[in-house]
Amino acid sequence: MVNLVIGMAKGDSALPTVLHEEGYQLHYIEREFVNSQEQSVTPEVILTSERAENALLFEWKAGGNLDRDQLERYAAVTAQDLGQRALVPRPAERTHDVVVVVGDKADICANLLNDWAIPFPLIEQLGNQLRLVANRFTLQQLNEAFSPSLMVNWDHGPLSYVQVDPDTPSDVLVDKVGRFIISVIVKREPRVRLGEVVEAVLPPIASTGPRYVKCLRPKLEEVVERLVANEFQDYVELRPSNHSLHEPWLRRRDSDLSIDMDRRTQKYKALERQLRQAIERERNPQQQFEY
Amino acid sequence: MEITTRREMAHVFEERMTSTYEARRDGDPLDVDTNLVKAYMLEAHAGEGDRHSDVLTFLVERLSGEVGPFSVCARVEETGEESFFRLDMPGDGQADAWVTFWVDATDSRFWTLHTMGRSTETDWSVHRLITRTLGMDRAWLPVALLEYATAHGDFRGLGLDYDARQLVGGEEDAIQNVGYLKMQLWGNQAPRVLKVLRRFDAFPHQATLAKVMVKYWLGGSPDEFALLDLKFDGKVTARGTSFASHQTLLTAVYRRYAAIVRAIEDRARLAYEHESDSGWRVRGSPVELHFQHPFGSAEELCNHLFTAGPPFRLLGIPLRIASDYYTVSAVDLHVGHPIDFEVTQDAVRVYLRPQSCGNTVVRLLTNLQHSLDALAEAELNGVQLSELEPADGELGHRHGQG
Repeated sequence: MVNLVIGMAKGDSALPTVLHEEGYQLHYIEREFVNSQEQSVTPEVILTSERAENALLFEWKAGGNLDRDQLERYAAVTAQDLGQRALVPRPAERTHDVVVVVGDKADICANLLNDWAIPFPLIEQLGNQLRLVANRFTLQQLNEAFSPSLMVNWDHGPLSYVQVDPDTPSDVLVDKVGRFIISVIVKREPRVRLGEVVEAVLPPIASTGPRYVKCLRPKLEEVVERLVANEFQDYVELRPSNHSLHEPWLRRRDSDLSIDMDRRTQKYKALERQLRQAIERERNPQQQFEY
Repeated sequence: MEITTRREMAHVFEERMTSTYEARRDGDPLDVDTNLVKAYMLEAHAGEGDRHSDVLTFLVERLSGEVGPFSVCARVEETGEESFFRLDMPGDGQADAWVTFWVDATDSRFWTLHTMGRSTETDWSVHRLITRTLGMDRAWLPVALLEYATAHGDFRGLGLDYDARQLVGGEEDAIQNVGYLKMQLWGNQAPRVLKVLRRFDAFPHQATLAKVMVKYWLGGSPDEFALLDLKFDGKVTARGTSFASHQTLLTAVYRRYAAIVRAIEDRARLAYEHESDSGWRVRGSPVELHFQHPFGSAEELCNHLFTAGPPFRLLGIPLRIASDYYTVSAVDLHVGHPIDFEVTQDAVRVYLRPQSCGNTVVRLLTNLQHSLDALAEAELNGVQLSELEPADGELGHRHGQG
């Protein structure tokens, strides 16, 4: 969903263009700030439009379970909070909507919002449609776009602005990490910090919130260790931290990539086969693969 | 005459241009093509400054025979001018056949290699140079850039080159849809023929411009001109009476190319900006390539693109997301940097990472035009690649007839 919203704001040709046309731009992802009552909120995405004088704070709930306390904290967010604490540029902070997106139980959620007197626009994701099921946006054009529903071609939407999150399947993590290690091998870099590999897969990992740092980072580090030990051991090795590098690091081994292009291409393809094997093994741990 | 400056090179090369022009005009039976003045536009990652020392270091470390496993066994010499080098390379693998190139690295990234060597030898040397050296590639000229060249002079000839046989896996399948089209035409009717071939009921998707011949005058005198053959792989051959004319048109096209590559890098590279407390932003947008793929599926397209070999030089494993939708975390073997793709049957999104090279996009577009669809186009934020950062008017008007 993060990729989809970014793509819509950037005017991706495979997606509806309403957000782009109304001047919305990506402001922040996972920006934590406190409201006027000193309570913390962290919208998944903030879009801002100076032209529309409006900000959209997105919060999605995959299971459709709304958290009243969280929504009330959002309800206490003021234009001043947005300007001073979420750094929303003027005049986009003048009005804002907290947009709740659910994939399930939309009717129940609509009733809850009504009972709690929370006026946030509620969007239901149903198949290829995004449908406004309760409340209204400040901007009339958005009400019209999402009513009765906005058709979205999910199958061709962008996926690579943000490549991984804590729920990304492990075979995809292996692919992303493995690709970066191959890049290190191709460039014949003498040494690379373990942290650099992790940051190559998710560059802003340190700013993505505790779930990313505590959950995703160790997963990525474990994948690096495994790939180096099992797939790319002829080319790189993982060395422990030392007095100059305070974290583990990849050291290049001497290898025979110093050959003509045709044979080097064969070597690269062999690296790719090893990575493909690791991905398959991740998908089917019980199965034996031979290439 | 010994060449130690660009001016001396221009003098020597102009004599050669004139003699080959006259020989051809007079019907000389000698195969003058092998002796034509040539230039190769090559992109090298030798630093972004215009520094002589960066280029020299790159040449010595990456190309010289003494150092480096990727060496192409070249001999490098400085000349009497900044950013101007003599480069001797083995011509065809024989120890005693050396070819001399004059490297003009005024822009330390976008080099021009001038030579008067035989085509067979110089082509071989340049191919070897590129395939062996990390950080070097040709300047790929998509159809729009070749047309840009024709707009500045007289459009005197063309070559078409389209070959989808690799993509469809053999000639038999390709026959159903015109899988191969090659054609050369020299003469003033070239623009008209091209127009006819591009009609919707002719071969618009196969009429891929691969080479253009342009007659160009720098000044007002009709006696001082150059006839240039510009090829999609960045090779230029020239004859005529004016090296300055040759150099001016070549430079204009090359600057346009460089501007496009730099614009791609400025606007498309994804940059993740974050502050110490929390939250982050994404700057940049993917480049979108659009085309018609008359032959097959996104999977076949992936198999065509991600082979690790030339011309695309991309290594990656396509992951199936949906029917007809794949993502590929790839490595660009030209520079070794990560780059990401999303592939459907009729479009490719290219996500450049912070160090990715804009050349990759142009290489991809150019070669897709030659192997998939002549009408393939690339867009960045809705702007066509050929429209990015217009050149700053060095050749602002068309020159006269002659």
